[in-house]
Amino acid sequence: MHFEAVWAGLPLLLSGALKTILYAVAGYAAGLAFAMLLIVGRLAYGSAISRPTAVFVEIVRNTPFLVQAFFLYFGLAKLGFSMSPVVAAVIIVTFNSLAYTVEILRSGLMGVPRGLIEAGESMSFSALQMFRYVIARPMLRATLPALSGQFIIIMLNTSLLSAIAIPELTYEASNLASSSFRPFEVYVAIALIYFTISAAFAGMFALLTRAVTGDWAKVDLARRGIL
Amino acid sequence: MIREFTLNHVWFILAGAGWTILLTAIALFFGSILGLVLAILRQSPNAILRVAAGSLVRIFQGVPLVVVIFMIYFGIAGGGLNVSPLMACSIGLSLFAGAFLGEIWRGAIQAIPAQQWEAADALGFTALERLRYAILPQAIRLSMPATIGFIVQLVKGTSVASMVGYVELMRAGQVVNGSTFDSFTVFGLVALIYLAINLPLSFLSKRIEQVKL
Amino acid sequence: MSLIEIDHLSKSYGAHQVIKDVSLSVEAGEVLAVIGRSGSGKSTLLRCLNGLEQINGGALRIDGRAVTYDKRALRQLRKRVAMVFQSYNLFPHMSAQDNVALAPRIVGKLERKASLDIAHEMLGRVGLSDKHDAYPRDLSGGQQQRVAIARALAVRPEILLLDEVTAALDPELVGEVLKVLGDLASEGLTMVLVTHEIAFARKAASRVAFMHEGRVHEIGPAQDVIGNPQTPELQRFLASVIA
Repeated sequence: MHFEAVWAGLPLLLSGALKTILYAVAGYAAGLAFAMLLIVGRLAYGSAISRPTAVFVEIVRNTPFLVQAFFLYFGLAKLGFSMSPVVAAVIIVTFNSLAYTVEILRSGLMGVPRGLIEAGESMSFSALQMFRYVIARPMLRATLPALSGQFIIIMLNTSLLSAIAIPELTYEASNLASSSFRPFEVYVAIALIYFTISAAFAGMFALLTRAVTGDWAKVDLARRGIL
Repeated sequence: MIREFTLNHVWFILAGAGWTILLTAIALFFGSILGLVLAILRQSPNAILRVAAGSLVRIFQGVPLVVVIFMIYFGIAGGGLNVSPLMACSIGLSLFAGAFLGEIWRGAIQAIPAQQWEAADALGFTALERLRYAILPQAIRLSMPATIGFIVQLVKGTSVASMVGYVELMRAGQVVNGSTFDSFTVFGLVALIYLAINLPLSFLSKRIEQVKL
Repeated sequence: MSLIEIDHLSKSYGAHQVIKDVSLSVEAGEVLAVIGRSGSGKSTLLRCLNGLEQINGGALRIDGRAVTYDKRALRQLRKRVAMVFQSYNLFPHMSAQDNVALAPRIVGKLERKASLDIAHEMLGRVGLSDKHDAYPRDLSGGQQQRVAIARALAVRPEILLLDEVTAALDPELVGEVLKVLGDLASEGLTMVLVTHEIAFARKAASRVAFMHEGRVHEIGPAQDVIGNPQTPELQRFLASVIA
């Protein structure tokens, strides 16, 4: 094995890794924020929100990331809605994050004790107040490990953005692989980089989980990617 | 030269869908075997086996599928061996499926109450008989919704094979798009076919989740 | 030589000693009832008898043979010493007859047909001949516990261990299970039962042992131990469970 090519291209790979993290964090955060809005919307308007949400969620969850990227970037351009690859990439990551996190939050919502919600209703809280004061904490606390796992999956999926020429880690790696004629070494190197990013974020989420719940057992489970 | 989008193109894409299903079936078959082994090894009294199985799972859950497939494809080719895209994708997707199924099934095995293990012990079962007759049948039922849910992930995962040039559904769409440039119709159709494959699985998964043992 | 010989047995979990220097023996055909408060070590003692718990000190002999914990010895032990649990622990994915037939087929290496014959015989003994194909979820607690007894009997054990087998049952279902146990006792099956049913212990057991803080505090013929308790601990215990 010859890793010289990898060393020479390392700055490029690291800048790609930074973009990977940027797309993942931005898209994930945006998706999670929209997901929370949808949960509040559900509380306020019931099925008027939850039905269309369910349709959107099923479409995103049941089609491949790559197909979504090609449809959005090439397909819509054909209809005249052209967008830059960057915009398409952010939309795709956000949509995927939204579709999965809204389901996680929904299951967390079901776990919030009925009595708490009734207590809020008895004080005639608005949907936003209900979310803010009654639901948000127990819901997030219960779902943090799952949200953490979902972030890792979303981050790994950004590797497919290379197919629409987003200069993230996998894209930079394919360029380096073909210019250096050392594809195997390059892909082993970025596998290590992805693994490091995954482990770092899993660790950060574990600390966050601990800060929120004070529960070491859950921290350990989250760190091992079980929850 | 730009050609019209014709029925032939539809047939070509549908043939691609056939390869997608085949690739899913291959990965599911080998992945199930690997997953079962990993799930059982992670209960092993031997710490080395347990840690080794756990590490394999963590690696495949921390590296993108496309990178795994590239490593296998270029790794074997770099060793001077001939490797077809189908072969590389089959290996990569099988490992991917094995890691995730192993994790799902491990969770299900651990969710079977201790009393059930004890009841099997009290009847004089060996460790293997205990798994085979008492624990696994229950664990398999318990894990069904998650297992079927994972098959959806696997079908979606096979689209990554397009990136090493294997002509499954996604790649077939790209090929047709390359000659017709009717991206909206082509990728819309491809998306609809994925939905047609996956939606029934997703609904089935939700349905059996609501059925009690 | 007694069928079960327990000789200065002790058992600890870490620093916590659950059984302290217990010695007693059980003759073939005898029914020994073990009573005591929860945490007194009675269930642990029972679980030691078929190797579900390993002993830390002393000796344990079944039919003259010391209990050891290698796989083959445990399998042999469990064919001779069967156990019924408080929470039945039937396999939920199998019908009543399959639950009962499983051990004869797997451990006893019988053909499926022969193992089902045994299952039908045993389900008959516990009065469930009409429930061959029922699944645990379709049976009442009392019926499930009777299937569990049939399952334990199916390997034709010499000793039956019963761990608070009526404790999880609704009061109106206790009688049907106790009746089955009474029948087995009169057939001469050797049984060791941990129980809270003092009246039943008095009637069906040949001897009663009272355990307190990991030791056998009193042991003797059922009538004497329950009818005429000697120590204040047993007097207090009996007063609390009978009242």
